[in-house]
Amino acid sequence: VTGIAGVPVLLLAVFAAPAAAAILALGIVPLSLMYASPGGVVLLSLLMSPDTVKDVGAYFGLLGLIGLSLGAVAVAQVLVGSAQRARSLVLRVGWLAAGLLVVAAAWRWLPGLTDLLLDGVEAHPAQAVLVGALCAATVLAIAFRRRHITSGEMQMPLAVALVAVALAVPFLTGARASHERLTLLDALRSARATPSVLAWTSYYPLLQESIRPPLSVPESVLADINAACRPGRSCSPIPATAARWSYSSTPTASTPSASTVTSS
Amino acid sequence: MPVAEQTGIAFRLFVVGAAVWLVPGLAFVARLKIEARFSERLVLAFVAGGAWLMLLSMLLPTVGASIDIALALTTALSIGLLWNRATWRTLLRLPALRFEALSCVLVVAVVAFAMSAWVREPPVTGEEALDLASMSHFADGGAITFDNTSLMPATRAVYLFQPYQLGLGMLARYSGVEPIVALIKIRPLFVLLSLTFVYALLLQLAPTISYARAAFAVVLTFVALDVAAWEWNSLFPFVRRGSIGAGLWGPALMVIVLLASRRGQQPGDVRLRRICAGLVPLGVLAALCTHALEVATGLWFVAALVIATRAGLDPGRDSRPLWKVGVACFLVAAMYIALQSRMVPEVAARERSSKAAVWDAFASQSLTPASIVIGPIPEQGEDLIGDTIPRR
Repeated sequence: VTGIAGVPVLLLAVFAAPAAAAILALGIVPLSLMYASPGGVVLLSLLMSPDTVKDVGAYFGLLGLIGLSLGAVAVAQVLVGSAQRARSLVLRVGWLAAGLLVVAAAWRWLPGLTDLLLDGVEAHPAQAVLVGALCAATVLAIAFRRRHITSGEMQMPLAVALVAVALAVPFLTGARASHERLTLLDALRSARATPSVLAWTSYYPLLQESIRPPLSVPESVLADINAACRPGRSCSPIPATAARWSYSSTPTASTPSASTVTSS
Repeated sequence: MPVAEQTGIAFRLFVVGAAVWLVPGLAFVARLKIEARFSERLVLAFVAGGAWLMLLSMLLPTVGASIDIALALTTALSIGLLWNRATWRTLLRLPALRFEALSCVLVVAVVAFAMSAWVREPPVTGEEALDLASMSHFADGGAITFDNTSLMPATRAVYLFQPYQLGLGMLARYSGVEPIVALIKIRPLFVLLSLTFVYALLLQLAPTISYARAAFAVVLTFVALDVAAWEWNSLFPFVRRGSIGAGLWGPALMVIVLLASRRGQQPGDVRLRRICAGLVPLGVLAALCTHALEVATGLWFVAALVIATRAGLDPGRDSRPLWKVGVACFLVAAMYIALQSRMVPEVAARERSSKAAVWDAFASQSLTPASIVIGPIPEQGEDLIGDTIPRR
């Protein structure tokens, strides 16, 4: 979400953090254009590696998330700052109500809009990149005009942070995004039900499945080898269970014979 | 396992992990009396410490020394740098803590994230298996050569120098745990560092400190609400070298490049800028040895920063140091690639043939100049723009 939503949101961030928005726009969009162009992908493949050329999700994700967070804070700062600066109680209440309305609107419509955006990007990636380029050009133009504007220290930062979080969360709560999400609490709950590496005997079967190439060596054999072998020395004599297992199995690429297993 | 025993293992891993990845760098930062914020000092320490590990990973196989030599040299370096009472004072200086609600919430949240990484263990798949094999060879304590740290016996590893695996080997050996336990359970330290580096990056980009803190609250919320996505995108990194490259080296390099270009009026600012500019090429080399891909995107970010600064979009930065930094990074990368190709010819040959295949396939399409630039989006681009990234 952040890689895609981060660019349009820079249009908000640029009013509060013009230099950052410009750097992020230049860091994200020209590289996206390279990936959208046949010549660009070939050039990147030759400069990087054909095998890993598209493994740059973390870079786009990080810059997009930073753009999104800066944009959310820009809006939150306007809402909280205006309420705080209002001279009369009526105006202050008015700004607070406006802030609540904006947050409510974000929670009401942003999830659907995000889904729409994701659908659109998936169906028309070329147009999405063009829209991104237009956004970036606008960001750069605004950043150039506002480059000498300095910001004062933020008032009520906790309130701003809370409003920014409230504005940003709906980006993640779209119907399409929700079923793919795993919150930290859910992750911790499922982790508690999974054997830990500290409980080796129950962890080993998991490791046998997850590791590549898969491990077919039974845990008892491994325990014997571990008991008999010390780092830097050969394993002699071969432990009984290891020897039995080796001779009763046909050695293949994934089941090496015990005599070829080196200690570590 | 009882909680007390787990706590003991966690403590040992954290202390040894910090000693391996941070202490030499922190000693370096303290020795030079660098004036910077706590998170920035941590970034500098990580980059300097990573550069030191990289030098050790070059030295050990070259002279056939064991990991104990790496420990002895690291200890000697740290003691040498700290052989001064004033340096100790600088090292132990804590960040100026003011009770501010938002800062407290953020600190508690980051610590909670790190602690949760102890419970949510990363998977061990193919990439971790390679790292595990290499770190186990280091942790064994035998003589290290270029041909005995790979998964297969008497085979040269894909990465000629392996600072990350050397660090993991030191961690396993000197914390007294099995290599696989060290590999999996060091994750809290990496989560702590990754999030701190993102905060340091926000401090560089946001117009004020409070702004950066509020933005960081949004970042943490995103990670908490979609942790699986941010595991893959490395803000809650896995322990494979690719995640370390993307989650630690990526933000760390961005921060020191931004620090190297920051205009400042104080004498300390100029010094900080010069030190950062000097550290960038070393950091790039260490990052190349950890996972080369992230250096490419990191250099792209440097290019974006140069253009933004040259165009006057960021009056708070000076583009002149960035040119020197860029040239130094380019030279370092070129030297590394040349050495890697010469010393690991099989991998270089495979890479050459896959690049030749890409070029042949491209040339056979006989595209017009216009369609080369604005033709249909290639598969890799479509995957990246239209599918993978929006979901994550």
